[in-house]
Amino acid sequence: MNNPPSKEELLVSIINYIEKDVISELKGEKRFHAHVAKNSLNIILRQLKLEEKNNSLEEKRLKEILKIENDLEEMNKILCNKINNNEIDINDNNLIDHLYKTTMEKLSIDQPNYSGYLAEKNN
Amino acid sequence: MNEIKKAIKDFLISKDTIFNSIFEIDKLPGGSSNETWIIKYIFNNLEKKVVFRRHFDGIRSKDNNYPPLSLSLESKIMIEAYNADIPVPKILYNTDSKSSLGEGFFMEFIEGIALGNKIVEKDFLENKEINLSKQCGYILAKIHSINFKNIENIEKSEASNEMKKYFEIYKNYNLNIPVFDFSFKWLEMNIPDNDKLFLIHGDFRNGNILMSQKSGVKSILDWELLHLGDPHEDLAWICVNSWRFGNINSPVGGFGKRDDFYNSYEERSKFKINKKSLKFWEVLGTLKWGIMCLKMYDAYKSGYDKSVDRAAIGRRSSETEIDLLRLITKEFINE
Repeated sequence: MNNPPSKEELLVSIINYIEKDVISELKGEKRFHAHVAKNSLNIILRQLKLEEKNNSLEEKRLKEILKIENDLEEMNKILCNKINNNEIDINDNNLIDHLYKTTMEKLSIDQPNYSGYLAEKNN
Repeated sequence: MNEIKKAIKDFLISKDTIFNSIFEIDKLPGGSSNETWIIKYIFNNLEKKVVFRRHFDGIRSKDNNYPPLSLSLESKIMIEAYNADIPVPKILYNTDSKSSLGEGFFMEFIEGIALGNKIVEKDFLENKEINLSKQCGYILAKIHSINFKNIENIEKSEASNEMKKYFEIYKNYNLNIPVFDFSFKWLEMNIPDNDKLFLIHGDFRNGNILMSQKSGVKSILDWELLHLGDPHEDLAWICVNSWRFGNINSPVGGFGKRDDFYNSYEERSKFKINKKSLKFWEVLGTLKWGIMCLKMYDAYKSGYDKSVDRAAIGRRSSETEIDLLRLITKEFINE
């Protein structure tokens, strides 16, 4: 086990540094890239917190839909193939429910401020 | 002054001696298949600008399945548009592939704002009488009435072809994103009929429309995706949520209402818009942007562009997933 700070604390310290000291010093493309860098670190921060839970929920749903046990990546591949080969009806409510939940979980990490995410969440 | 800048200056001077006053030539950042240059000169004691567009390094890349549109063809269509009173920069001179500049063209510089996030701001327009959606509908109807009969080699791409093209690009990345496969399946089951070909701009959206705070639409830019196809493609693309810049409740480009846009289009074009076709193209447009995000990320992965934003943009593809689900499973145009 490592000594403190935790990985989350380290990330937050870099995010604060970019936000308070770096962005204000930069202009044009470099400033834009510093913003993007900060956003990417925030994605990692959220992913550290949420990924495990999101993936286990996704895995559980996929097992139920596909009626098989496999790793997440493989099950997503199988689901895509089944959709393409008409083995799963795209009007199936369980499928649609799973796609909505998975997408919302993805966005809770990628872009929780995205207009489409917020509109769906407040629905 | 480097070689290319000198070639630009020499070319312009050979056309008109006013260009002896050129004092600055800069390449704009960005652009993957084409370069854009801004040339500044003095006329009557005033600073003036012209724009030069040419293929990347002057060469039209043919080493992928979808090479960029020939700039000579792009300029021919822009000239037709200009002659039809469509707001578009005037083409000044063409350069050919054998010249030291390569294939490209010079056009007039038009003042205005094309930044989508600025245009969707509440107080963007100084003149509140202006309705940007109506202006866009009217202009798009004029674009779709451009006479292309005398221009050869315009690519034709309709619904099933566009869909297959993007499915192929997606599958080449070897990714498994179930919402994308779900959306492609929905598209496959909902391919619209189109009985007449129109000239399609191909990238008619907030960000490619130069606007002024006083008068609204000033100029339609970025014609490089033009082709012959279904007019609903252009009518839908500007409404894709990715181009609303956060203003989800203003479906037309984040600045306007669907009814204003469609009614002004129909009034000018006498063309009856089909809502089922619109939905197909809005779904495909959303999916296209999602796949473009992956394409830009691929430029990072392949080492072509190692910038921090090319890496991060891959994660923006999930934004389109929620838009796709909402578009497909909820009542369309209920906004």
